[in-house]
Amino acid sequence: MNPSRLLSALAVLLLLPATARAEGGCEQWLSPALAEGPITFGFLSADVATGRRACPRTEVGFGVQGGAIIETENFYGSVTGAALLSGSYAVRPDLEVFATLEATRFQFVQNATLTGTTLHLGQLTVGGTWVALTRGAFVLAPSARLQLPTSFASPRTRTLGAEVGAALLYRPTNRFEVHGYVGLDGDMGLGAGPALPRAGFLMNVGTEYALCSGFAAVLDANLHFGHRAVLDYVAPALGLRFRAGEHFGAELGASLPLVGAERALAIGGLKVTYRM
Amino acid sequence: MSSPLRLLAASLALLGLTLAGCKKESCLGNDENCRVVSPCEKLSYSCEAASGSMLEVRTLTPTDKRVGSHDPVPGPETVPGGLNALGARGDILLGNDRAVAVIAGLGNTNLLDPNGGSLLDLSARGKDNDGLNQVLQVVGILPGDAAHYTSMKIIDERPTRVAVQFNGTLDGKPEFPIHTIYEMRPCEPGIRVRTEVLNTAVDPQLWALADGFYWSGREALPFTPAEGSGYQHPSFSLLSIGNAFKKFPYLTAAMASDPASSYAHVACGEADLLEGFQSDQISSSGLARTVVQPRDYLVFERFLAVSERGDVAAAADLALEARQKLRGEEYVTLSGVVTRNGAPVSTSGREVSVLVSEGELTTTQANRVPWTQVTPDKEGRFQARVPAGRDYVVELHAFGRKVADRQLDNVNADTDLGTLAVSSHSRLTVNVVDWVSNAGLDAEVFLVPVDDTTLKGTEGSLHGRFGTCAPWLGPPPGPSPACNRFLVRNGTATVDVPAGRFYLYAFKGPFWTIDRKTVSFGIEPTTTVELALYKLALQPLNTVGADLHVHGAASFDSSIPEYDRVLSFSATDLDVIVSTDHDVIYDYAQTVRELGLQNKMSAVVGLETTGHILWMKRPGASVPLVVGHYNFWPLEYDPTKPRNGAPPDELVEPGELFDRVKESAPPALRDQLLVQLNHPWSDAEFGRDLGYPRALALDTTKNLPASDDGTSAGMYVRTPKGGFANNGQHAQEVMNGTQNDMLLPYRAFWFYTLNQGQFAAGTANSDSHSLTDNTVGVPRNIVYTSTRPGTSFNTAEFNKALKAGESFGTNGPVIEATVDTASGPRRFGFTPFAPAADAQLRLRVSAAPWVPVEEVRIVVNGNVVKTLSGTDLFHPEDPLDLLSVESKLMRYNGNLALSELLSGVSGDAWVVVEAGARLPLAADFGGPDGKPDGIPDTGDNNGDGKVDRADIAEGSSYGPLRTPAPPTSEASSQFHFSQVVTGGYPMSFTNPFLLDRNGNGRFDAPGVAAQ
Repeated sequence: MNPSRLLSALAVLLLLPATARAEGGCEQWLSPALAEGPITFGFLSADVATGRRACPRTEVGFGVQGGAIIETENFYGSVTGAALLSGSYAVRPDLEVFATLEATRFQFVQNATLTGTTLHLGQLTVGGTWVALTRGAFVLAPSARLQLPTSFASPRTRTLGAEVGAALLYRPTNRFEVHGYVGLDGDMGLGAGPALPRAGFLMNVGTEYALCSGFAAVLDANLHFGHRAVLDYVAPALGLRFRAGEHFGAELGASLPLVGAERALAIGGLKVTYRM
Repeated sequence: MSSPLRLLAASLALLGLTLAGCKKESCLGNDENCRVVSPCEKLSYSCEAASGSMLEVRTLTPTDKRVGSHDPVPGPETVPGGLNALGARGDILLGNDRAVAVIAGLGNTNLLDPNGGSLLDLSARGKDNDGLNQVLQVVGILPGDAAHYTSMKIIDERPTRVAVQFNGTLDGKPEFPIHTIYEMRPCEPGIRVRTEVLNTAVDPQLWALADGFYWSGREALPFTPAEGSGYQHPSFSLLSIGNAFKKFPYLTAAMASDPASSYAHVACGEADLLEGFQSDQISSSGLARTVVQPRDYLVFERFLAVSERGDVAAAADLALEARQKLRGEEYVTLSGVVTRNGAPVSTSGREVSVLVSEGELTTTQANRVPWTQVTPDKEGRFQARVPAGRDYVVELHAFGRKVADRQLDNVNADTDLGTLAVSSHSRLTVNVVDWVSNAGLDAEVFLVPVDDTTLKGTEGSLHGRFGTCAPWLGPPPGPSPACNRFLVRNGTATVDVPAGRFYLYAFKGPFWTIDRKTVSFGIEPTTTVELALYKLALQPLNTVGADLHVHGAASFDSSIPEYDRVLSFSATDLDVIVSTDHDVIYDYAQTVRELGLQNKMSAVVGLETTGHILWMKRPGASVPLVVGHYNFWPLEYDPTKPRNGAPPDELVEPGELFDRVKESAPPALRDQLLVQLNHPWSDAEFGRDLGYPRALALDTTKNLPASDDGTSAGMYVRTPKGGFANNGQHAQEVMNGTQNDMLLPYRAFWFYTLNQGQFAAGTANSDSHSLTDNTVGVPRNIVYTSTRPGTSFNTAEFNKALKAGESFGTNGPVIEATVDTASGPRRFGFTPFAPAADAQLRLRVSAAPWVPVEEVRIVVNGNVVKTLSGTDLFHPEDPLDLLSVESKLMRYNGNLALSELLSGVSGDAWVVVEAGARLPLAADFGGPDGKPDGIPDTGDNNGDGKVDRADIAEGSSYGPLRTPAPPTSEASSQFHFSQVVTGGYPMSFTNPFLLDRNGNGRFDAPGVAAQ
């Protein structure tokens, strides 16, 4: 994909004015502190190429996520872990801005018997979701996300990326939803090295059911194309979501790539949120 | 969205657009036709204006000949030579007024280099002293971590610079582009290099971008200034290599041979210190290990300098000069004179060395930082640079031992250390003559401490490397004197020796007497010793003695000068020598002629292929392997071709390799070609198996399949390309090396192949790489052939006899054996025959008096069925007595009824005769695949007289097999033998008799059930 076009489109989208108001599906949920939408742990940095929820919320969160590639036949191994700070702010009922920062990113990489580690500030993503359409239990919310070149992983090269997508929500009751997300993501390198622009396409569909106001389970299916290969992965994801009190929530999730070129054996994470 | 957010987003998008469109510096953008920027921008040498006219860059052609390569086609020698010179047609020569480099051309594969682009040679201008095997760009230790270059561009910007740029990717990994430029500028003592490697994949990589220096042992020794380092480096295995990485300001490596050379490796880009691991085999020197993110890259700039001396100081001086230019670091020069017996040292000087370390006398060696080592010149003078402003300890070493030290505090200016005195020594002259004719002989003399005091007082080493010797007369891998021995030419040699009481042994191979004198040194400044040897009538008529596995300096793991190498052939009275240098064809004929040996010795041109690049997978194993080592001869030597005409030998199965080598030979030699499987069950070195059967982890308790059945055994028998099968060798080693420490596994594997009906001739070779690792010609093959050594030698006849199994292997005992048939006695060999009904095995075993024969063994189908020992055999009383010596040679002369030997054996049978010492105890507990495989792997390591699991090394499931300790008492029958056959024990074996007992005209192999 031509990175110039992608970035131009992104700039235009972000400059569009708000046109709709949130109501319906977003308003009926069993417990405000119980997380909603797709599982937020992905295969890339921060929250890049993860499904975004449709409904604007105001919350702050702290979490950890990680993944591992272990390929003994290729004498290669990589373990990545990151501490995430995240937050979102519902500017209006139909508009949310959000950000996720890899406050620390740890990597252990092994080449045969040589090993190395890094610990550094990771990527920051900022974005917004705009509820464009609400019809009864349905919600359609386009979103855009920028991946900012904040990582100190290399003094020589930075990564800049962007993502546009749309979240879909169908919530017929206050304890059950079907969600989905499609998104186009891209990134490129900044620095003396090659830009190597890459683009991907994410499809997410999933469902969440709240057994009670304090616990919900979510099951997602994620398909991603174009980052490593035509098909990066078909990866089911399972999440368990909890609430404690009026404001605190927690999410424990994991995803396992079954098909595709993704090399990670699995990814997973834990996130604690305080919803306001 | 608020205005600030919109503004931020739009700005970022525009920034991205701008940056993505920027033109990339150097080749960091991996653009086609990119040009790597000039390395070492801050490095500058002041120059004479005329220096630029000496710059040269060109691609070598078939008319370019290396100095000293003895090209059969006469012509000017235009390419620098040296012990490790490899430059050939298609390679790139870069030169200035001080140094000349040769870089492998694209497709010219050498050693570990997948496709060319490695630095092959670096000589001081006019010195022809290349001491580098290979320097190649790597990011790790795996084959895929080496650069595979696919394009090349010569840059000729004379008189400013000349360069060549290589572009490619890591081997087999197109997602990791790599670019390297080699550049030379006027009046610089070396070559600038810059390498850029990019991670265009989506996952992080762990890279240690470095130059990999392939020393391969017995060559230049790496020396790094770091705490506790210098010559000392942590040992490591493939699994623990990460712990061996250290940081250092420069790497030097000095070749202690002739011609001498040394090298200095200095970072000249952003990196201040280098990081890597060091060993006698391989060094890495480069950037720190780095996790390289996707789209990130590494750049490594360095300067590799060459000097014309063989000590560390010659290179370290250049390194410190470069660091002064690059980083402003000041250095000072230490100088002095070394005297011995009150006069300046005046020998080759290798036995005297000055080591300079940062620290104080009270500082332990582990906490000192060795900065340099200098060998005094022929007048005893020395000087060496070290960083200014530090405390130093100066150590004087002589004969491999520290003899004096001195502390210098806060050295801020050039300092004269004055005189350093070496303790007393003697100059020894030996005269070795033929006892009958009194003519001077070529021979080898060994010095052996008489007592424990002398042993402990003279044991030394090259600053802890290359093992210890008592006495230490010179570096073990180098020229004579080496370790405790030296060569004698035409009866005379002179060496310097330390004080002590020594036996002097004169040795001229297994079929001569040895002579011994006891001498005390240190009292008189000079001593002359007379020694006499007598040639014994041991070698059967119509035979030649041949060593089919010999290395010289052309091999990457040998640095013995060619003169010494060929003289060593004569010193052990060999008739035929097959030159089998690793990965290169070589020919000793020119030097044989120069030494006047051409009428009694024949040098056959050959090759030992040596797998370097791991690639082969055996069923059930994930670790890639190599196919091991094979010898081939006769071949054609053409030093203008890569590898002197040897074909590429990597990434192919043995059968295809055999096909390739045969195809590479001139048509007249192809039918003569003999393929020998070397050290079939040797332990792997640095992950590289040395023998194909061991690499395959063959289970010798099972029969081989008839064809490839998908197992390791199937791989062993299959024919990869329709020509040779993988087990199509004509010969295989049963004895390899003077120590003969792996005899039992090789012997077991040979017996297995005989039981399978695979008739490869058993051979016995020295595999000598120097004067000390193995003694050339010990062991050797005695080949029954009509051809004679000398100018009329017929390789075709020789190989025909070998292929037919008409030879025996020995390091001393001589076995003459026949079996009666209806048409008369038959000697052993691969032609099956029907024995007479009352056939006898007629046996004569003889040996020099100093070669003890404790046993004669008769082996049938792999089982020892009869052992002659004790009073069955004659044992000479005085191994050194020359009186009536010819009457003391025969140890056994008798007949054994074949029917008795074959009792209980049904069907056809093979018979091998062995003679020599009792075999060491051994058992089979495991093997490469973890389960007993029929190959002995563990010896009686705790000496309790039995082999059980208590003998297995801690942390291992089997092994090791150790060479029996040499006797220390002269009362032992092996005492004298072990002084001149270092670490070995007497052994000889015949090739098999193939008994067609059922008379069907063929030999029906008994299979594993026979054992």
